Amino acid sequence: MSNFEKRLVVCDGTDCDAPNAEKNLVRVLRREVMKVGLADTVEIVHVGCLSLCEFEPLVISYPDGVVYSRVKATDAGELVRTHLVEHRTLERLLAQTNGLRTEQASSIDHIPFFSHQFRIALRNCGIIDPEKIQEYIARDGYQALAKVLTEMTPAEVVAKIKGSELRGRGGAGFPTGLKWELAAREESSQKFIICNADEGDPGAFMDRSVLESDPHSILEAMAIAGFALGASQGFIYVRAEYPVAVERLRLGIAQAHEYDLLGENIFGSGFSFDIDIRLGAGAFVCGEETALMNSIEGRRGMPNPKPPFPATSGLWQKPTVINNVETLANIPPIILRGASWFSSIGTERSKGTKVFALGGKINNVGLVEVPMGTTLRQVIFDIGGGIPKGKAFKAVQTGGPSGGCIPAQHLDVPIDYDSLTQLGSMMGSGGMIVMDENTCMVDVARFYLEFTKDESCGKCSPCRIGTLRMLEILDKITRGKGSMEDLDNLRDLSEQIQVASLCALGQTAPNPVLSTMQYFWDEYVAHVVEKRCPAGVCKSLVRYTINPDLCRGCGLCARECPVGAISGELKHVHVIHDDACIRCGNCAEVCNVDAVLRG
Amino acid sequence: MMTIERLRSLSEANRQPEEFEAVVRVATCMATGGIAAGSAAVLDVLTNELRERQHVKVEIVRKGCIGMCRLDPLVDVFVSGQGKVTYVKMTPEKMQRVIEEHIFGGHVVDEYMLHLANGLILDDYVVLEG
Ligand SMILES: Cc1cc2nc3c(=O)[nH]c(=O)nc-3n(C[C@H](O)[C@H](O)[C@H](O)COP(=O)(O)O)c2cc1C
Ligand code: FES
Repeated sequence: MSNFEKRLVVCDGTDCDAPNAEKNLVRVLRREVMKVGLADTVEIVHVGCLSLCEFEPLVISYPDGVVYSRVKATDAGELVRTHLVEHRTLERLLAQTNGLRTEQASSIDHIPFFSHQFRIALRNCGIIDPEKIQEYIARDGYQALAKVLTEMTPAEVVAKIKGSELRGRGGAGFPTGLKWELAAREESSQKFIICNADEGDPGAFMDRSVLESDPHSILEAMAIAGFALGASQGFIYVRAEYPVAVERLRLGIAQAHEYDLLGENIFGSGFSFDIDIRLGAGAFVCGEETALMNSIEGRRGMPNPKPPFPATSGLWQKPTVINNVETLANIPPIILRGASWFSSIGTERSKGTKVFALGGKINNVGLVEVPMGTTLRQVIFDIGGGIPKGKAFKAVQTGGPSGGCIPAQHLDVPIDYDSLTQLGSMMGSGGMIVMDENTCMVDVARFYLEFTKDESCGKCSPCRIGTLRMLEILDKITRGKGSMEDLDNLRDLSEQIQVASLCALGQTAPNPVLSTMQYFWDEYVAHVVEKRCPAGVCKSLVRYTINPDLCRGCGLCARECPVGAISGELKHVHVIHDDACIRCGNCAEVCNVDAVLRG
Repeated sequence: MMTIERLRSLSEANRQPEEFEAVVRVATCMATGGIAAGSAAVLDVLTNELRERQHVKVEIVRKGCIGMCRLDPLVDVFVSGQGKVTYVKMTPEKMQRVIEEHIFGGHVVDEYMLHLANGLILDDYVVLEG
């Protein structure tokens, strides 16, 4: 608004729609503003889609942020006179919006996305320069290590972590303090602490962000763990697909050495500790702790039966603690602020916060950290901004390939380890994939099964063969060739794979299928009995047609069809030719009047 | 050797001042999300421009992920005495304008700021014609 006092912003969706009649609105508004002699103080701009499409054509007045909806060129004169000359709002055009106001936020700090969050693990992410150890130190970095090494005994450190009731953030939710205690109790000349940064869940990027944005928090936590256990060596197992994270960890380790925060005799305490990085090649199973340790030792990344547990016999048969990145990121604040501070946050059996990577059909794709006990609805709607394009929420997938899909009726469940498990899903590492009404739940189950089938290491047959058989059945169902008997078989197979697999990859692989069968049984039946995909996703079962009553003949669908399967004259009803249609769904995506039917 | 006293004094010495004197500070996300969205190219524009005009002291800060990846590249501009302005979904072209109008011109470019409707983040606000 550099030279103007006021600005009218016009959004009529004409960058995504054909008719350019509304362009007149901009022109007419300019003319009206000139008429009342305000051309020098009021600027009129035509902008691209603001995702307020339900109110278009709309005019937003800044700086006051009043939104006028369904504004026609014939309204322009009255709008300019009332709003700009008489300084009143034009009520008639406000009705639709229920008094909606927009605002420009000069800084993103105070938007609802952040105000509902509580950041412990992400405390420095996006705040400091991760490549400068000084900035970490400036925010109390390495103070926790100093405190531990100069004021506490290893047993006191373990007791403090136990007291905080922190549970592992890598998936299983095992109490961290107890894990440390088990390893600390072992008598051994060498012990190890491993940071699990393999992060294999599709769509998850919590750990990557912490490593990239605050690497020293992990290094400091590992040194603290090392002291508590009596380990002098740590390893970070990070996937090679995270080059930025690897680079910043390398730099961080070098800087920590330079400042004598790693190496010999840290803080003059006699405690020495070092950290090495090991790169993973991106196999999902290598996130499983025993497979991971095999991989570090130079063997193929395959799991071993447990027991023995790593705490007694882990890396090179030495007592080993393996913790997830986010688990470790919580350690320094617990040391500095106290166990009771941490355990005052969250729910009865799940303390502290959890980081989630929001993805899928959600407006604010991104990374959030909330106290345990926050409801799914708060995360998805208040922080995540809800579902794009006003579509309906259908389910949220948590726990990645080991988790399940939670439907709308459970949106008010507080998020913690136990409640999500009860719903047939799990906390997992923090991926949260939101699905809207256009998602086919059978297809979702198929997607996850395909993933686990590909990632099965092959060592045990229930997982190697069982997941393949399940995938074949799901394939059959999505192609319209399934029977009710197949559904029974899916259930049987699921139960067998759950109990007979060697590691948690196989044991949890059926979860996405079981949870979708539990909550979306109707959809399975529709595929099998009616040979119909209600969401219109499964290509063999879907047909696209145009509703002649709604089609305005704008021609957008015909232009967007990659195979020219749509014909029709401008301003006349268009037709989709089924034999040529490849069921990509572009037409339904682009239609502005929802005239394309899938079914 | 590192001692507690030294760590404390380092911590004090590196605290970020609330206000910057005669300095412009520009910060952007250089985590994977930010880089993938093009933040490196946005910073390049700034670096190149600053090489040309050395009379204004501008500090460039490369930060990590704040979580609002949807709006990457995010660019925070702090001009001393004026607080922070966050620009969203930046491009080299938009950065060029922010350099001219905000950093050197003193006028905030409001259409590149975040826009909200009842707390819901709107899509960005691209002027097609103004
Ligand atoms: C197939 C599979 C993949 C796993 N992937 C990861 C992973 O990527 N990151 C992680 O921290 N834990 C992963 N885990 C869990 C680890 O085995 C282990 O429980 C965890 O690292 C322990 O750390 P925590 O107690 O801090 O959560 C995986 C487990 C399985 C069965
Ligand atoms: S990666 Fe930049 S804010 Fe997330």
